[in-house]
Amino acid sequence: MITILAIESSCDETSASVCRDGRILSNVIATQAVHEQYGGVVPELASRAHMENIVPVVDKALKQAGVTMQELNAVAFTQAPGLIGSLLVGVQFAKSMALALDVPLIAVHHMQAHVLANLIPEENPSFPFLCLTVSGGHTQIVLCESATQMTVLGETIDDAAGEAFDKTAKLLGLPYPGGPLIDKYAQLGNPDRFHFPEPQIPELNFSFSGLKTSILYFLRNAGTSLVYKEEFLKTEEEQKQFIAENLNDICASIQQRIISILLNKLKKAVKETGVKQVCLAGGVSANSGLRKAFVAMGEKHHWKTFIPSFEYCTDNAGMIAITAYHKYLAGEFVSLAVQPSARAEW
Amino acid sequence: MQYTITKENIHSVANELLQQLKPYKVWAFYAAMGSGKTTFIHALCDVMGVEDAVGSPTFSIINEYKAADGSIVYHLDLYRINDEEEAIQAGVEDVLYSGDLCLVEWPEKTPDLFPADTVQLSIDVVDSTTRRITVKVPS
Repeated sequence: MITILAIESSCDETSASVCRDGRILSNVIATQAVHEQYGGVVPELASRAHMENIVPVVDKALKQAGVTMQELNAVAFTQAPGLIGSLLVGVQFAKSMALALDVPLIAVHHMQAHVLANLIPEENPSFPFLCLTVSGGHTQIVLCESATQMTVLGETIDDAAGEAFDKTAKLLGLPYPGGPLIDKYAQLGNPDRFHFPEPQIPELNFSFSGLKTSILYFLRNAGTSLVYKEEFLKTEEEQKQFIAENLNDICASIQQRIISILLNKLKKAVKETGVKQVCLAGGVSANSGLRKAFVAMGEKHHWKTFIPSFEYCTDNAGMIAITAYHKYLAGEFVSLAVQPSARAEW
Repeated sequence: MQYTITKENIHSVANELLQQLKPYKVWAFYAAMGSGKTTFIHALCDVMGVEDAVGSPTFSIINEYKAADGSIVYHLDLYRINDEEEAIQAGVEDVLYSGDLCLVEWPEKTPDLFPADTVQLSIDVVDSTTRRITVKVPS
């Protein structure tokens, strides 16, 4: 029996998870529930927040799993990429715990863990599979040949897909993070009403900043043109009125374009690799339009598609734990000299 | 200094700026959303031979790259930062005073955190394929 404690602290969330023989027993993410239980206000974004959260979160993860510290066979943590101050909290905590318990230490790459979150459900893909990882900070297509062998086939050269949603929402005057609101309004609108260009980016890479600029001028021109020209610009009043009258159709059209950019590249990746087991990962996989289009594309092209449940799509330690389990089986351990890294290299 | 940037000359302007502004380690980019901050920073990184994926750090706040000569390049985005305290907690101050090159988007979020010898670069939209970049070197 192999029992592993995993810690994730690369960005905003502090999370801990216990996994036994590849099955997730607990996956605690620092939310209001933890704060309520332990009291105190925690700033949303700070390594100090991680410091305040980490002990109660680990404690809760162990209790929920019904596991004592003495039963742990290894401690795992997110090593990269992320904010260095945030990563350090998880790294130091994991090192101290591994040292105190005299168990091996396992370093996990956050983006590889997003991909392997697909191994958590009982019905999961066999190797090799492709994964489209879409989140606020990342957009990647990864070829996963084994739990320890992955290759990035393509990624964004500017904004991430989640950022494209959030920044577009900001242009529409919706509150941050506005991605979920675009999804909500899009369901009520006509996606073919407005046409936004699909960028011509070579190979399997993505770009969303050109789309963002097109949308910016589309709104500034109250829907009359996608380009900047002084004579096209409308008054602020006219822009606001245009948005208010067409919000659902604008959201539906933008969402359809972001999804087509993502799925057309995925289709290309399937064609180039011949791999027909295809997964989705990352927080943006909560977008209902993307899920629907992904499943529909899979049916049309006879792919086998997989989407992990939402709690394993956003940043969470469950995905770190499952990755660590496979690293444990492969004997991939690190020494106490290991350092976190902000860089995203694999 | 003022430069007009198009898709054709973006790398030569980036190269010239890297030569001209060599003594300055913190570059603050002032520009509205969609005017091409990330795109221009991408071009600067290309010229420096960065092989890491250069993306927008809006979510991650600080991206770290390695240039061809081995030096560290920080790409910061303060868009999500609400106040100075948050920026300090996220490690922004440490990076700005590290002596490594820092390319910063949305610096107006924490104006007081910047060192005195910060270069200010503003980008204006001329038309849909042309931008004007104005460089203000500290006196």
